[in-house]
Amino acid sequence: MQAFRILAKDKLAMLGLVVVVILILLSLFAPFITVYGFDQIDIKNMNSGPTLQHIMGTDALGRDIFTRLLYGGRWSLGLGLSASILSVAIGIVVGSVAGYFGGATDNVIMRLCDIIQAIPATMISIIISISLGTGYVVTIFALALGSASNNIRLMRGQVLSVRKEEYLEAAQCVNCSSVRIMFRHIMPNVMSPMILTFTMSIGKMIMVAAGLSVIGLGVQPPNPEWGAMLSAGRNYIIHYPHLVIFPGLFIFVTGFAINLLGDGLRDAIDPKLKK
Amino acid sequence: MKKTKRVLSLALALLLGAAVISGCATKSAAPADTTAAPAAAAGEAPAASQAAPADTQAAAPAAPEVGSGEEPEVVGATVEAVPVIPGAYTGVVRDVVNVGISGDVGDWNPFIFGTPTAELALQGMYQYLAYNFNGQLYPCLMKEYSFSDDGLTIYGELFDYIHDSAGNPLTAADVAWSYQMNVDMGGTGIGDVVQECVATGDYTFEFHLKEKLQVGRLDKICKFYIVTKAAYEASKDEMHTTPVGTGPYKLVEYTSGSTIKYEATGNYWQTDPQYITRCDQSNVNNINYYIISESSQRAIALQNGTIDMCMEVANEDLKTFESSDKYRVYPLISNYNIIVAPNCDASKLTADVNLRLAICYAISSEAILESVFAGNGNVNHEMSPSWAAGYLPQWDGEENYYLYDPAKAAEYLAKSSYNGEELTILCNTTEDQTNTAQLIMSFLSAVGIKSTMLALEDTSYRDYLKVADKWDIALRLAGTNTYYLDFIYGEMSKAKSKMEGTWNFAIDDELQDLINFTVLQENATPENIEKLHEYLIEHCYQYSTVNYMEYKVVPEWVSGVSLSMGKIIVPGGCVYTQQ
Amino acid sequence: MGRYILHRLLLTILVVLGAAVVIFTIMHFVPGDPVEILLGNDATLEQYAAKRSELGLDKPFLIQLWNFMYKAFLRLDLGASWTRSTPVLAGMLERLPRTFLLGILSIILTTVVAIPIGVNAAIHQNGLQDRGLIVAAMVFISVPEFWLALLLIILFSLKLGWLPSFGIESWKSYILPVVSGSMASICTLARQTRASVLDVVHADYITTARSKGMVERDVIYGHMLPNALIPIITMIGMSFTACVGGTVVMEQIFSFPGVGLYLSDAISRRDYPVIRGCVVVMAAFTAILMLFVDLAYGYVDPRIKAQYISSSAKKGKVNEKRHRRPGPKHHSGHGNESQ
Repeated sequence: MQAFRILAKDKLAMLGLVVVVILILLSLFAPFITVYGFDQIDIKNMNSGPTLQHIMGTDALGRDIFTRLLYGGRWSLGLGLSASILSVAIGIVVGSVAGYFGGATDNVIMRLCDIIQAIPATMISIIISISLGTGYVVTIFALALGSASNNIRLMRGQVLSVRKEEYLEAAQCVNCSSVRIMFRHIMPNVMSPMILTFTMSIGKMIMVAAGLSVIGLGVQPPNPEWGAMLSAGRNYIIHYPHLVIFPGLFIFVTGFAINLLGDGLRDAIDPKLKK
Repeated sequence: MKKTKRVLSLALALLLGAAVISGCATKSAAPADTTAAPAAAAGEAPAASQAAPADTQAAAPAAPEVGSGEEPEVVGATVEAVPVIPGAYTGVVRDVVNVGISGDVGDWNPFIFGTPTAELALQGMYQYLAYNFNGQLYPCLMKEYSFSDDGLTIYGELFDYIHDSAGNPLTAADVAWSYQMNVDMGGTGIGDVVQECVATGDYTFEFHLKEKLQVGRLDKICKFYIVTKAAYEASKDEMHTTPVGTGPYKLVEYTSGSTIKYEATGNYWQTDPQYITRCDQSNVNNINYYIISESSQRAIALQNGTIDMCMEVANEDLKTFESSDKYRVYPLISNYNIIVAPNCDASKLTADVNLRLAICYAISSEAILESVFAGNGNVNHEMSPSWAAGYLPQWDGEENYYLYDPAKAAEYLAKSSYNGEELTILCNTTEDQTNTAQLIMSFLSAVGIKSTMLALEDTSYRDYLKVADKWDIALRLAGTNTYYLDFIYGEMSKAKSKMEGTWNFAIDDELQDLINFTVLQENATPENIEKLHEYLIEHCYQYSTVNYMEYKVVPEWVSGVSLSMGKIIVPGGCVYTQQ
Repeated sequence: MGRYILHRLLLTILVVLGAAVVIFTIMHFVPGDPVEILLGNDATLEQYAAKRSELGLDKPFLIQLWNFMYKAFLRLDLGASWTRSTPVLAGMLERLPRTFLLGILSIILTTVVAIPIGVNAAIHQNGLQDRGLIVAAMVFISVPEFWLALLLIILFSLKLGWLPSFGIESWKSYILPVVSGSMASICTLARQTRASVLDVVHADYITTARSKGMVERDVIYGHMLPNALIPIITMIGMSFTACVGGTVVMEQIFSFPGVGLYLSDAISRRDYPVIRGCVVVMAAFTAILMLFVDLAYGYVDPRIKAQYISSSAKKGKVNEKRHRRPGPKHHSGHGNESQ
C-alpha cells in the first residue's frame, strides 16, 4: 500500500497512467468520437493526407486513419496486455514450481528454458505464427511464448531467494500444503518484480507485433492493429508518410506512457533505488 | 520534477516535429501528368516472318497478331519496346547498368525449378531452344523444327556453331541430356507431354510425344534451359553457384541475398544478327543486380541514383518517376489476374451456383482496379485477359461477365440456399490480396453476405487451398501464358489440379471433357472456344476480376526497353543513348 | 575452474541437442509442403513422390529425426539447403560475419556513447544532464525500432541522399541499420550505467579516494567505473548473444543479407535443413558466448570467481549465477544479495 502512495506522488508515473487510461478510453468510446467505421471503405478518397474531414488522412482503401487508430487501441492494447499477462502467468506458474520444488523438477524446467532461450525469441514467434496461422489470438500466443522463458527464470530466482526465509519454515512446520505455501506465503513476497516486468513488456509486445507484421505474420487486416497499420504503411513512405507516422506515434506514445508508469512503479516498489 | 517535465515536453515536441517535417516535406511532388500523349505503341514487329525459319508449321491456329495489343501505351516519358529481333545494334554500348530486383536467385542450377526472380537473373546466362513471343516462336539454340505426320514426333535441328561461355561446343546430345536432367530434377512440367528426347545426329534431335500437342504446348517444350554436359561436369558444385551457359553473359560475382554481377562474355556464339532476339543482346558490358526486398526502398534507391532501373515499382511510388524527366516509366500489362474462386465442394454453401453468381455480381472489379491497383490495369470480361492468343474479340463488348449489379446479386442470393453463415475468404498476406479481400468483404456485406478473411503467408496459404473445409472463397493470382486455352486448362482442368475436379473443388465431368476437347489443336475453333466460354460463365466456377499493370522504370538514357518472355526487363537488350 | 568450464560445456551440448530436437519437431508439424515449393505446380505426381523420398520426407517422424540428429551431431554434417543447394554451414558462415559485424558495430556504438553519458548523468545526479538523459532515454526506448529506421531512411536516403538504405556494398550501408538498431540499447545501457554508478558513488572507498586528493577523473574511471562494471558487462554480453540471431525486421527493412533474413526466408520457404542448421549453429554460438560472458565476470570480479569454484560442486546452480549478481536491478537483478 505504501508503494501506491509513493506511486501516486510520482507525477511522471501518473502522467503515464493518465495517458494509458486515456488511450484505453479512446479505444472503448471510439464509436462516439468518430463518425467513420474502422472498416468503412471509401475508394473516392484514397491515400489522402490529413484534412479537416480526416485529421490523420486516409489509407490505401480510403479508410480514416484516425478512426482506425482509435479502434486499433482495442486490438493493440489488448494484444499488449494479453500477451504480457500470458507471458507473465507462464513465468509465475512454471518459475515458482521450479523454484519451490527444486531438484529434478527445477533442473528439467531450467534446461528446457536454456533450450528455448538458445533459439532467438523472434524466431520462436515467427515459427509459432506460421505453424498456427496468422491471426490475433495466434499472435498473442506467439509473443507470449517467445518471451516466457525470461519470466520463468526471473520468477524462479525470486522464489529461490525467499524459500529459505524463516516464515516459510514456520509455515512448513505447521503442515501447510505446498500450494498454500506457494500462494499464501511466497507469491506476495516475490510479485513486485513480476508486476514490473509485466508493465514494461506491454509496450514491447506491441512493438514486436509490429515487427512480425513486417515479415507478413502477426495480426492481419482488416483488424486495425497499430503495428499492422504501421507495417502496411511502410510501402507508402515516399508519398504518403502519414500512413507510417501516425500509427508509429500511437505506438510510441503508448510505449512511452507505459515506460513512465513502469519506472514510477519500480521506484515505488523498490524505494531504496531512488536515492 | 518540474524541470524534468519541461525537458520531457521539449523532447517530445522535437520528436514530433522531426516526424512531421520528414513526412510533410514529401507531399510537394506534383501529380502525374497522365494526359501526356500515349506513345505510339511500337508493337512487336513480327520480324519472324522472314527471320524465323522456325515457323515452317504454324504454331497455333488461334494465334492472332497480338503484338499491338500487348505492348501498352506509355504514360509519361516515351520509351519504346525493342522488337523481338532488333537486328544489328546501333545504340551506344554502355559500360555498367545497375538494376534493382526484389528477390534472390537462390540456386543457379539450370535444371531446378526457380522462382520468378530466378528467371529474371538467369536471363542472358542460360538459353532455351526457342523463345515464344505472342504465340510466335523465335529461334535461339534451335534453327529449325518440324512435326511428323501423326503429330507425335518433333524433329529439331540446332545451329552447328554453338559454344558456351567456357568454350565447350553444344550438340544434340547435350539437348537430350539437358532434357533428361530437367525431368530427373523435376518440375518443368514438360514431362507429362514428352515421352523422351533423343539425339539423332550431331545437331539433330527428336522429341517423342505422349499425345498430340495441345494449343500452347509447343513453347513449353522449348522452355527448359540447355547447357553443355562438359561444362556441367566441370563445375565443382553442379552449377549451384558456378553457372556456365551459352548466353551472352557470365556470372562474375554473386553475394547471396545481396548482389549479382554479370559481365558480357564478348564471344557470344551467335553472330548472325537476324537470329539474335532481344533476350540475347549484350548492349551493356556489366550488369549489376541489387536485391532490395522492400518496394519503397527500391524507389528510394532509384531516386538517389544507387540503381538505374527497376522492374518492380509499386503504384504508390510511380508519381515521382512520371513527373521527372530523369526517368522513363514503362507500363506493361502483367501476366497476372486476380481470381475470386468460390469453393465448389459439395459440403459448402458456395456449391450452389446461385450463391456463386450472387457473390460475383456483388463484387465490382472496377472498384478493385481503382483502389487496389490505382486504376492501373484492365477489368476482365472473361477468365483470361483480352490480350491472350485465342481470346475472341467480341467478349470485350459482352455484358454477361458478372458486371457489378447489386440488384442482380440480391436476386440470385434470394434464390440461393444462403443461410447467413459467415464465409471465409482465404488470401495471401500480400498487400494487393489483403486489400482486395477487404474490398470484397465490404461488397458482400452490402448485399447481405457475411464474410471474414483469413490471410496466410504464402506457403501456408497454398497448403490451406488444398483443404476443402478451410475456406469458402479464395483469392488467387493466376498467370496466363500467352494462350487463352492454355490458361483455362491450367486453371480448370483436373489434370493440372491433380484432383478430382478443378482446384477449387468443382467436380464437373462435362467441363473436363469440354476442356480436353477444345484444347486440342484441331478443335480450337472460335465456335468451340465460344462454347467453352459460355459454359464457364453459366457455371461460374471462378471469377477473374482484374488484370493489372506492372511498372518498370528506366533512366532517360534508355530509349528502348527489351522484355523477356516473362515480361521482365533484359538489360542487355535495352537501347542505350549514353555510355 | 576447469571443472566448471567442463560442466558448462556439457550443458551446452545438451542445450544444442535439445534445441535441435525442438526445432525439428515443430517444423515437422508446420503446415506447408516443401516439395511443392521446390517443384512448383507443374510437376507430375510421380515427380513429387520421387522428390519427397529423395528428401526423406516419406519416412516416419522418428526415423527422420534420427537421420537428422545422426548426421548433424555424429558426422557434423548439417546438410545442404533445399532451395539453394548450397551447404547450410557455408551459408551460415557467409552470413554470420555480416550479422556479427552489424551487431558488434552496434555494441561498440552503444558502449562508446552510453557509458560516458550514464557516468556523466550519475555524477551530476539531478542536474541538467541527468534529467536530460532520463527523458531522452525514456523517449528513445519507446520508439519502435523500424519506425525510427523508416524515418531515418526518409531523411538520410531520400531527402539528403547521404546514405544508401540497403545492402552491404560499402561501409556507408551499415550506418543506418547500426544507428537505428542501437538507439534503444544506448538508452537502456546509459540508464543501467547511471544506476550502477549511483550504487557506488557514495561508497566508502570513493570518499577515501577523494579525501586522498585524487583527481576527480581518476576517481571516476579508476574506482567508480570498475566497480559498477558488472551489470554493464551483463548487458553487453546479452547484446552479443542477441546479435547472433540478427534482427529479422531490420534485415528485412534494409535488405541486409544476414542470418536473420536467411533463416526467415528459409522458414517461409520451408527449407528445413537451413532452419535446423541455423538453429543448431545459433544455439551453440549463444551457449558458448554465454559461457564467455560468465567467465568474464570472474575476470572482472574476484568475488564471483570464488563463487564459481565453490559452486561448481553444486550441480545445476551455476547457470543461474548471472541472474543473481550483486548490483542494480534493471532486468533480472532483484536477487537475494540486494534484498
